[in-house]
Amino acid sequence: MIQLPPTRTASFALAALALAACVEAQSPNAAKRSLPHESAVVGTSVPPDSQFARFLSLAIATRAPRVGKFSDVYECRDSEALKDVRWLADYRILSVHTTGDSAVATAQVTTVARQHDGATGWVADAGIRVDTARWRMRNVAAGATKRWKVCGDAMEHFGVFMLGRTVRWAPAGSSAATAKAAVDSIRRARGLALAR
Amino acid sequence: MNMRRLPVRILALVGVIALGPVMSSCADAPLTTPPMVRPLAPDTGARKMVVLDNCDTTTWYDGSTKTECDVHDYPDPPPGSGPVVTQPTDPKGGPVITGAPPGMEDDIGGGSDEVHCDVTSFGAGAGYQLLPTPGPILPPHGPFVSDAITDDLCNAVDGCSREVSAGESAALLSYAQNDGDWIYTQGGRQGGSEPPVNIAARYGDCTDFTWNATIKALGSAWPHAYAQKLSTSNFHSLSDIMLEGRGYRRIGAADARPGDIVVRAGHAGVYVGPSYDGKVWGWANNGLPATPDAGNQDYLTGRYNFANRNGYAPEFFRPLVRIPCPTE
Repeated sequence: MIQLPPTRTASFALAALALAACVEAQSPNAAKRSLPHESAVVGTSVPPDSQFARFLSLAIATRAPRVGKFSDVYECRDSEALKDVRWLADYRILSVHTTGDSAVATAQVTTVARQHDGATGWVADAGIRVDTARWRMRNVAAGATKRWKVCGDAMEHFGVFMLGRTVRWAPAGSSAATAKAAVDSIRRARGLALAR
Repeated sequence: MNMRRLPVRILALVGVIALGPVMSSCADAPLTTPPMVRPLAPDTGARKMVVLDNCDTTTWYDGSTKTECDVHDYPDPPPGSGPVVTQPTDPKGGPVITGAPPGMEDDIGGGSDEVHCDVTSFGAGAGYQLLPTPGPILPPHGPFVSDAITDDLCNAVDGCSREVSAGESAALLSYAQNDGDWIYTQGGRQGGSEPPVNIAARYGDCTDFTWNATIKALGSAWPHAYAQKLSTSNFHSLSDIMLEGRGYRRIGAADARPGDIVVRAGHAGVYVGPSYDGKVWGWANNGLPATPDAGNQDYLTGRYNFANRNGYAPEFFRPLVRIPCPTE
């Protein structure tokens, strides 16, 4: 297991709030159609920073979409959060602070577009930028053991999943293809493998 | 005349209701045969030209259509030239106003100066009249006459709609709570595979549910077709005037009452009331749309806590029903 930084009161409170929020997000309608079952897990628990890295890696915008792609690393999916999406190109994990079965993970993220659900549908604004963002994580039951998973959107209120059947791009000339080309360009420039 | 005014970023929501009633809180007699002109305000000459492009028209289950276009601002026309309004020529079926001078820039992308316009047409080929917001109504031009009303014009003839009564609110909530279970779907809007929206069969998302409850409970007094249904983004982003044009008034949390529409971030429901322990209960069609990376998730239609969470606070909206305008 990794050696985690000392716990701080603030992060504890934040994590507790995060846990409460995640629990609430799942609670209101649990009976009819329950959330998908966790896949069976064999072996030891994966450290939270590794799970966080897997989550961010899977979220790189050039990865092929696949239903269930995030199921081992992500939960607390929330319809309320479907408002703002960033197209991720690269990331650098800065810290993962754990408190019991909760954690707050921080990463520096390089994104190539910001997509928001506007009054007339999804609109994406192309532009490369670097931000620091935090995600809540929970160590949840997964079969016979537990598994750390990212819980919901970034605390800065954006997600990193592809959304939208139709997305309008700005400025003129930009598109999903040019955004993905920007992802590849960034990764090449940084000596990283292309993400597919 | 400023012939080279900088393009203004305009993002427009254009509702085109073919042969439909006027979709405005301002009472306007349903039109049956074009042309029909009803000037609501004097033409002060402060008109504004815009161009629509990239129009996408969606036909909804009830036969109404909704057209979304990019709206571009462009330099004022020469004095006396008036706008040039053509028949619909957009290959996707949307209205097109031609005459944009060269150099018009596509500058869509948001901004603080967003303007929302409604275009209402009556019958194929009847022509269109685009009204600026704010601004005076444009007089009809050439053979293309229509009756179109913007919400700020409705505001000028205030008194043609009112908030629902407490009894009507209670009826709305009662309808929602007795509407049965809905199947949550956005019809693939988020890029995933899921069932199509079918209001009659109770297939839809949270705002489909609230729209249906509102129109079923209020009937023709709330004349807003499905094409004008507000998404959660619309609830958050539309101005008060535009909201009222679409049949809702923003209500402060302290004034909210059961039967209002409650919206928090990307979820909406019919407000049930507060609990003693700080919850803000709504009755909602709960679920998650399918995306390219995740399947559709359908939860029970029922109680949902809309209390503050993750930095998002609930907002409340009260339906407005139509009454005769004082000017009519």
